[in-house]
Amino acid sequence: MRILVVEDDALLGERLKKDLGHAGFAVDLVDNGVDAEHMGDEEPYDAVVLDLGLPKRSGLEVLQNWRQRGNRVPVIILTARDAWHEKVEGFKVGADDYLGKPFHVEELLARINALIRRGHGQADSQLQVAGLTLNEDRQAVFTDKGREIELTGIEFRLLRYFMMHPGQILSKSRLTEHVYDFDSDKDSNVMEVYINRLRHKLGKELIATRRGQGYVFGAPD
Amino acid sequence: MRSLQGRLAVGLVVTVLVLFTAQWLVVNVSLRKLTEEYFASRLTHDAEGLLAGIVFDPEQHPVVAVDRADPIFQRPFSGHYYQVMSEGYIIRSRSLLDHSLNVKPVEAGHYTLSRAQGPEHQPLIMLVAGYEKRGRLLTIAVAEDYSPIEGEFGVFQWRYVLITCAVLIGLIVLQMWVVKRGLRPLEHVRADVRRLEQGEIQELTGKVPSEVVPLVVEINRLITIIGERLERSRNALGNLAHALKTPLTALDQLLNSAELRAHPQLQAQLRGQSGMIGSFIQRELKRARLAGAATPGGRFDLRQELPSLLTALKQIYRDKQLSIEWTIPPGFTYPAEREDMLELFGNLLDNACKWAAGKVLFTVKLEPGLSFTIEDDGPGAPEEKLAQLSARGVRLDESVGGYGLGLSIARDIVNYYRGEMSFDRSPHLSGFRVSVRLPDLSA
Repeated sequence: MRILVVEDDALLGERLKKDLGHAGFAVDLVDNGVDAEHMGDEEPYDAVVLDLGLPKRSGLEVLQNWRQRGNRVPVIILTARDAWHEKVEGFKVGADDYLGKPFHVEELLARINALIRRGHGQADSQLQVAGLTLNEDRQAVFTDKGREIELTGIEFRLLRYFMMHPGQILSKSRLTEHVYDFDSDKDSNVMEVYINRLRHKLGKELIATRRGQGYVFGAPD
Repeated sequence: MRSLQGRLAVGLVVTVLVLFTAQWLVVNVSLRKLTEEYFASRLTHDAEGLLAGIVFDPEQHPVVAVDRADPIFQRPFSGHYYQVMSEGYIIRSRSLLDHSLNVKPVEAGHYTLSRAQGPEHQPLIMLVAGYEKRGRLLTIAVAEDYSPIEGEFGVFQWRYVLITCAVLIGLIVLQMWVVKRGLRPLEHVRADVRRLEQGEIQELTGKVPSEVVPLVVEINRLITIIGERLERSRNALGNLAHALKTPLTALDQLLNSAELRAHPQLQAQLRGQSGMIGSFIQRELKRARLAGAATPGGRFDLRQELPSLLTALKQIYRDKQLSIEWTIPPGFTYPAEREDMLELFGNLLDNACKWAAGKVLFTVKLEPGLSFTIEDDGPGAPEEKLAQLSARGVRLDESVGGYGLGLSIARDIVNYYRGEMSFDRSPHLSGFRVSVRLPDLSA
């Protein structure tokens, strides 16, 4: 899952990037409205955390422009401006959620996860696909027999993305885009290594290869 | 304070009364003088006529030749009398019968004009003149009853008073009309000020007489200043909020760092403190941002604003399948500042949505002012907590578990608008119910 964090306060931005990274997200950090709008349009984010008081272009304007161009990326507004008339304005422009500062990271994470799950039609608080249950807090997966399998950071990110898109063909480049942030060294061959590790941990049949197209998770049996 | 109308009326009445009294005095005095002079000249003629008709009998006594005297002197109590005296000898006109006039002799060539009492209580005006005829001194008194003239005088005075009163009343009525007409533009201003207060207009119009224009300009200037000040302080507060909250958030993030996680007790203490700072800032900033009922020129259209507020709430609680039912009388508006009202409804509806199992009822009553209830089908609050919440002046803070900042801010807003807020159990949904009543500002 890849997230764009738009925050002009350097300290808070870096902390957010670190915390969200720990929680298994690939995070890009942008500190102004113009870059934010550009990145949001160019990169396939799964969610955006958007501050409102931004240099160069206000957060509301950025959001409005995205929505006008049909960019439906889930957006959670994170701002100190949390009066109700500002909230109403935010939702009117097309925000999916609104969180006032100061906040707790746990709260933000819960909301981001809820937002992403909702975007994929998953209403449950835990991701459950093909007999596997993903525990986002512990970054681990449980089998239907209750066995816990520990995952590394990249494995967790990859598995979560697969579980969000069961039965869909996912190309190597798409997986890379959603697992790594913008600045990472993206070598799609490395992706094969991680997929093989997941197959090793969870069972070979769970991730099928479609030659020349990509991979399918929880392939129909 | 006395009315302008009253002051002007008193002034007018006093002026007119003084004027008419002075005029009355002058007219009266001159008229009397004029009549007396007229009488004097007539009586002098009569006296001279008599003098011409006086002859001396062989004993050298004066006699008035009857054919020379006016017949009016012959008729008893005719109102015309004479009395001729010469060295102790007295001749009276027949009209006097046996009355006599009280006359003192006058030297020849002199005369006096005086009032006297005549027969049958007739008021007389009497000319007494001294003559010399054939070497003998004569004093001739001629008198005339002036009661008919006096009667005419009385009628004249009555008429004068009547006309004066009529003119006075007429003038007062006229003046009232003039004043009313003159003050009509002020009525216009008053109506405008009221409409301003009701939020129907944004500023006063300039269609007033030039004397009032400075007042209107001043009021408009004040409105602009208040508006600007509000805007400025709100912006400043918004910036301050931003400036304070962001580092506070960063502080919270730092509290999550691995180094501090190794000292859970210290971490918890720091968290508690930063949490307190956070909620203080939140509360005080929100409170400072309230515009209150003092701002003129705004009118909150609830029916127009509610849909986007409900959209926001449904978005926030979209995992809940909430149904929010609302009733608002058509055309309902309330003269209040939009952001204050959104904050009030936002906080109360948010609270209801937070606790509701699936249903929220929002009812605005058709009453003067703004009177509404918001109820939910959640667990509600226990009796003692309801009492605690409803108690006047109680600060609703985090200590009244769960019903925290939102209700507290709502109460601040209600207080700003001099309204009342109370809590109880919803009779329909059996959850929490909050009732708010804001006063009718036009009353």
